[in-house]
Amino acid sequence: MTPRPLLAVERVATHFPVKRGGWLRRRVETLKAVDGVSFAILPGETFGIVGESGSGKSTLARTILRVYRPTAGRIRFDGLDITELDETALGPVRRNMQMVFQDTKSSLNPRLRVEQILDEPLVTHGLPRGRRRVVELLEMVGLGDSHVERYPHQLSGGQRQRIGIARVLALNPRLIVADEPVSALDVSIQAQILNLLKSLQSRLGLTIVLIAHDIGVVGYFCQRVAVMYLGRMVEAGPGRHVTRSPSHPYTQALISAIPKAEPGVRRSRILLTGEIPSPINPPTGCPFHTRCPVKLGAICERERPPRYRTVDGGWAACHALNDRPVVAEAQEE
Amino acid sequence: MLDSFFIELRRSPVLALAAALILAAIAIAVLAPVLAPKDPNLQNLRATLAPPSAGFPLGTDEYGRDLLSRMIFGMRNSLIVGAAVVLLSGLIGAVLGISAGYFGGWLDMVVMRLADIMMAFPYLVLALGLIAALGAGIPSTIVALTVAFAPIYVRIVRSKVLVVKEEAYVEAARLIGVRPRTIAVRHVLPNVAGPMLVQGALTFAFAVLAEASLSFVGLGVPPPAASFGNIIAAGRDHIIDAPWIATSSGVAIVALVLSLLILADGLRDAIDPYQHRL
Repeated sequence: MTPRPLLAVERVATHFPVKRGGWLRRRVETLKAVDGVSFAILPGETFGIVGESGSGKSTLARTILRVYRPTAGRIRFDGLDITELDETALGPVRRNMQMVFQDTKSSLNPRLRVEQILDEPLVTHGLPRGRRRVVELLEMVGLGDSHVERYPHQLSGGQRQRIGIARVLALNPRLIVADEPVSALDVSIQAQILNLLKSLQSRLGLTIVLIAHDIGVVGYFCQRVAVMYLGRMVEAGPGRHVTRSPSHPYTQALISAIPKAEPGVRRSRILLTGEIPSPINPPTGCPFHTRCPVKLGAICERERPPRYRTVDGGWAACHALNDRPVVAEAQEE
Repeated sequence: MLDSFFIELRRSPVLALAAALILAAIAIAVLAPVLAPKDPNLQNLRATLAPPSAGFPLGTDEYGRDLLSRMIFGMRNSLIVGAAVVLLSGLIGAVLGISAGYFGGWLDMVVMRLADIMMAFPYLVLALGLIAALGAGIPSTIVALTVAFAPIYVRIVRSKVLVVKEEAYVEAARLIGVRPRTIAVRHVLPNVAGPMLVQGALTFAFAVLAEASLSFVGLGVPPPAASFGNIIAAGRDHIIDAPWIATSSGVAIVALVLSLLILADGLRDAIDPYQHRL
């Protein structure tokens, strides 16, 4: 029997109303930021979500954490359906699912000292407080005593991100959603922060959802990776498979865009033409058909592709894979 | 923020002078009963409209009252009105501005439309109308000017709150489970305090000016109590034969208001991180 997933997301959609036109010709359109996404994460797993900016990955992160209420679908955390819970009922759940932010400057209140920042989760949830606990948390993220009195602006970007992680650890959560945790940092610091997350993950048995636009970062970090395009998941599978031999043409294009540190070796790059379409009027059928290099024809424009099996429990939603077994039918919202 | 204000003080002699004048004005207002050489309301009909002399350093007015003593108590009344208006309108501005900006919805709609309506009136006309309804006197001057100046505060606080509430640290606090009211007080308020402080100095200047204007037309500080405004009004009738009356309080108003405006400028520079020069 497979263990119960810690987080189960079923056909979740998050749409936003967009007011357009002037005062007289007002019309409300729908921005489909997340449009029918399903996945499940087992306890202790690291799950990566990649996609271009505008693909809906940050909205998905905030929907999982119930910052947004999904328009459709269900979210289950440790078996508990949290889709419809209000803020009061979410309180105890929130303690177990926390978020690490991208912008280290904006994620810490500039007027609070490190000590006060780390005290906030403790006092809010009635946990043991005090300087010793704060230093303990700082030591968990590789900082120490000397940082207790500092203000955020007296710390480097990497140090601030460590504080952001320590603030999350204060609650001892089971799930951490990290929304682009390293993309605002220097490359030299990125690896340090990723390694810190990795070691915390194995030491504390955390479950981590890592969101990034850098497929290299996600491939390095995650056991399983999902690729998002225009609010939908187009492919998911074991990290090694998705990042080395992807099945979906969009993922293939993404991978081929990673520069390789091998001078002189010419690789065939898949060049996509055109822009990512607007999520306000997304293409019908397969969302990628407007830019797809292997488009079959009318079926791609008309029908959403089902999920076809790839390897090791992986799948890709592409009509070109129709010789393979179907894992799940097309995910309409 | 205080550190960077001290840096600004050292950098700008004009700001230092303005700050010193304001401190002196506050000292004069607080110590008025001790500093004033004579009773400001004591009439001396044998020495009316006396020019400055050893006995009356700034001369006397048409009732022979010592002008220096009246100026000292006038400063006290001006600063009492100014400080009360700044504190009250600041408090109203903070509460309504944060509520409207942070919680939004119908509250925001109602508060902001009311503020718009009040800001559509020239503030002196609004204050005049309110005093006409409330009756002249220092308390009703304070109430009228508070009502007149609070909408600007509300607007400034709200606009800053709208920026601050999108910051990730507010979202982080929400995800941690901090209650909305605690977020408003702990995370939003300190980060809107800077602009409020600047607006406080500006409001102080305008309130002093407005109080003088109201007293000038006889609606602010009621005679015989002294105010810069009613001293000027008394001096207007004798601008030729006793110019020291209007001149002294005119100079005092200009100095006080200018100092407050320069202070507001200095505070603005101090809280703006992009203005920092070495």
